Amino acid sequence: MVDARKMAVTAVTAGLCLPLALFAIILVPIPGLPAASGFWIPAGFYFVMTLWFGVWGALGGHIATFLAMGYFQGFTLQVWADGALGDLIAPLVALSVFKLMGARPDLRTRKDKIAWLVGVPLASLVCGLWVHTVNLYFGVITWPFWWVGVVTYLVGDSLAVFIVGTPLLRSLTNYVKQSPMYIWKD
Amino acid sequence: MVSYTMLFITSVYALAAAVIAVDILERRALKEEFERVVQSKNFLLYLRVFKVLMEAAILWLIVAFFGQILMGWISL
Repeated sequence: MVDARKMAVTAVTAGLCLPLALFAIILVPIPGLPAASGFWIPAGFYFVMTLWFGVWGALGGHIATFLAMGYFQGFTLQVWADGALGDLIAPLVALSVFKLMGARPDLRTRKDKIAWLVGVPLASLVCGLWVHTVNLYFGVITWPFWWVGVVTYLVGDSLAVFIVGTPLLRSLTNYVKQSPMYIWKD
Repeated sequence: MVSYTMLFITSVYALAAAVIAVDILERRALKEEFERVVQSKNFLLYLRVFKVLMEAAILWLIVAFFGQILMGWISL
């Protein structure tokens, strides 16, 4: 059931991620790869919101990416929708890993840390595979660039989520736990 | 010579970063009091969490600004 608090979580996540999705993109060259990786900073925020508040956080990241990608000239609706759906799927994959492993987002126990270390790259890989396979079938990229795209996606998103998300989860989860919106019941 | 625009923007960023640093110090100093007050005023919890997330977002926008200067996306 949708209530005001869930909508607020989505709105806050979207509002937070939108300026980052528009302006906080840094391309980091990867040695040996003929493309730079997009250091996708908003991912760090919507991963954290999803691990705390579930699908409502992921939905906020999806909305922010969809709106932000429309800003860039030359991107077709397919590219917006493709990237935005990828950004909906990715945090939900990480959330699923936490659920399956019975881990918690405060990253205190060994199991929590392993879930984070496994879940983030797995989520980024699934997202990269989704985005670039769809792009391939729509003719946006060619086969030789497919694996480069997937690898750069994996590296760039994972790095951003680890660097931005880890301190946020470690420092704020104890506060968020007190919220009735927190999805984990210890 | 640093341009006027660059000096202006850098000053705003420096002030924003300083405000965030002061806020972190304040949070540490008032940790126990906050945890006591939040028992009766639950909305403070959300304010605290969302404020920290926004502060982190501001810091990353500052990092991205200088990163994009290095990448050549922004020229001043």
